[in-house]
Amino acid sequence: MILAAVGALCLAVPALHAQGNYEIQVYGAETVPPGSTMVEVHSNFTADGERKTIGGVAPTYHAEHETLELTQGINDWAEVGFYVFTSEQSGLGTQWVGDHLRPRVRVPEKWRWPVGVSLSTEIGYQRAAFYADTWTWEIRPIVDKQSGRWYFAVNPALERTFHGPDVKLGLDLAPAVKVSYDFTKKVTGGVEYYADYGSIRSIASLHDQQQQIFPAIDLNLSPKWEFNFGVGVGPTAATDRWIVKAIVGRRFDWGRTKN
Amino acid sequence: MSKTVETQGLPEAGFGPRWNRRRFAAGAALAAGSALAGAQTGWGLGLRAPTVADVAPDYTLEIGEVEWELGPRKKVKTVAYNGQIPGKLLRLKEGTPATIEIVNRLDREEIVHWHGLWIPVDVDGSMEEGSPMITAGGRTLIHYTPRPMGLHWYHTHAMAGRSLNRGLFTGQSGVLLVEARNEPGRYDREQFVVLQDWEPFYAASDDGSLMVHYAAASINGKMMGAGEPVRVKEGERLLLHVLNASATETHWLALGGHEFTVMSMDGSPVATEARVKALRLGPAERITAVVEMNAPGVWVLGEPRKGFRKAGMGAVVEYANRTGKPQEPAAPPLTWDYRAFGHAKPVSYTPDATIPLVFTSRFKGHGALDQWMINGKSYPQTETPVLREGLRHRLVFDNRSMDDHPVHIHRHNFELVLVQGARMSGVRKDVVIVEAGTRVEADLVANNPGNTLFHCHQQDHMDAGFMMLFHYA
Repeated sequence: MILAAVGALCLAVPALHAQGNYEIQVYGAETVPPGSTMVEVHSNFTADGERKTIGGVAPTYHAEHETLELTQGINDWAEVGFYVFTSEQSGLGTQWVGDHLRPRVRVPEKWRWPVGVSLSTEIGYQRAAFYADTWTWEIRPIVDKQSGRWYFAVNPALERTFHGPDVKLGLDLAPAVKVSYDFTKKVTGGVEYYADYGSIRSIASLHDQQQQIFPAIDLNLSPKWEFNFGVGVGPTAATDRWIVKAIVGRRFDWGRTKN
Repeated sequence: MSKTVETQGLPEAGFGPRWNRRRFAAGAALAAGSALAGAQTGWGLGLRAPTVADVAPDYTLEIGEVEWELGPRKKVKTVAYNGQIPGKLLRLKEGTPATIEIVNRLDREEIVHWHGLWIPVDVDGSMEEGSPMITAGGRTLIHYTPRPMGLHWYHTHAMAGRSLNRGLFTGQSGVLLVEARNEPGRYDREQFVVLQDWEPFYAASDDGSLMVHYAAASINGKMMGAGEPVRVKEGERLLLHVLNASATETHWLALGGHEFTVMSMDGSPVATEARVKALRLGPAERITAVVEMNAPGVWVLGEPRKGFRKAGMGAVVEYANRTGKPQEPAAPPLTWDYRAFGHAKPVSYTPDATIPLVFTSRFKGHGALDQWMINGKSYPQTETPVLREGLRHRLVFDNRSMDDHPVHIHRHNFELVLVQGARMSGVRKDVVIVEAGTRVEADLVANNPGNTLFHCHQQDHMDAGFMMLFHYA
């Protein structure tokens, strides 16, 4: 999704400063079980980022972005997610930023593919004060593999603006990758990588790309809870320098038994 | 009262007992040989192993690949006995020697285990105990004197490893009924019910480890609606012989509008014939129960849990002159207590020896199967407890893992003496579910010398170390 990756709000070189940091997550292929609801809160604090208001878009420096994500499992191969994005920062207070809708389908596990495969699409609106492109769409292929203690996930996301300054830039490539290792049953550590390379018709120079690397930790304390923490560093000029992120999720099965 | 034997989905064996002079003579010779050898098996200790030419077998099992139709547009490629699922029903008489011919049409070794029988090591069908494998393309004759009476079964005892096309993930299983010499016959109709799961795949589980899931399920080899209905009449007593042949899943069974009176478990009569709304069977468990057919209609006999029923685990029970859409069972309470079938006043036994068995697992990654251990070690490194003939050994199953385990003892059974923290007696089994985080105690009287295998009957657990060999002193 456009707001998912660190670089996701940067659709073209002229807008590289418009970094979102609302949902920073590499998607796995697994979907929420049918009948269950997943409630996640994404808390992202930009410790060091853009300090100026550029083109009417608020700065990210010391912005606290809280995102509520609700995902409903439909069947064993589909789910629908809904997002509420908010921002809180000095001088602006707490603001509603926008909403997105995200249907997702996956290859059912019973097909016994050697890797997990899923396809997510996301459409939504965000206010111009927080992002110049107000209507955006994303399609995100997801491939992952858990092998023993190792986990790999790749999300080569493509994004498109429907309304805003980048409407004529076409598709934008914003990949995300995760590699992690199960240190114990409860503690998994790894690295997440988020980027925005700009338009696929004209890949931006490295200087103008957004790149962010998050050493991250996942805690598997309960089947109903998920915890993810990470600290990200942005090595390119177009990226916010430091971001601290946390995801806390709770699954509600509504009395549904295992089977 | 006349009896009708229904074998819906379980055709009577095509190779029934064929008594003739030649066979009788061979059998007599074998029996004599057995007596000389001091064992119930016919060939050993200098006796020439008989060939097919010597003995006409009571039954022949042919192991081979098959494409089996579970239901409309649902076929599975698997391995089965005689090309049918479940395998043919074998009926043997308690105490009467039997000969089974096994032909292996596969290009790999196989082995058939006679689950629940108190027979010698060399014919039990466990390579860990010392039973020989059946070579690829080979054939063998198995001879034993079946005991005890009751509902037992036969199945492959080959290791599956990570393959989901081997071992009990295939269709290599069938019912073996050892009939008593004097069957009281308190029923009008007899029905066999074999529960199985199909199309296994690995997926993450809620406890964080990889586990086996299934896309399809069947009763007597057919998915819900694909098999012939069980046809009954009002007022009949229906005797159900239920076997859970699943490689890994515990199942519940309910019949809408009816209750079950449990008569025996794992072939042994229970002390109290209690009535229940649903039966619970772990992998390899068997229950024989009577159902009073007193609610005319068309009903579903199947898993009360929707997911399993949707996967196909159901069969139709149809009263005479009744039609209509089968009514599914209302969700019964899924609680099970072995104590309900024990003595009202538990008998207290004093064991001669106690054998503690602690079950634990070792995490190998969210994308791997756990490694299983008994007393901290995985098979074949597990300890080898010693049994002393004639003595009562108290087995203390202490399950410190997050999974339930249907643990099985070969060639013996045990009497449950402690379940859910309370003393009990009167229930003898060869498989018991030890629920996660609980302790069960069971008394085993050592009365069948030879190596004795003990293991979790979940194929993925036993293949990952959950096995132990007992020795006799």
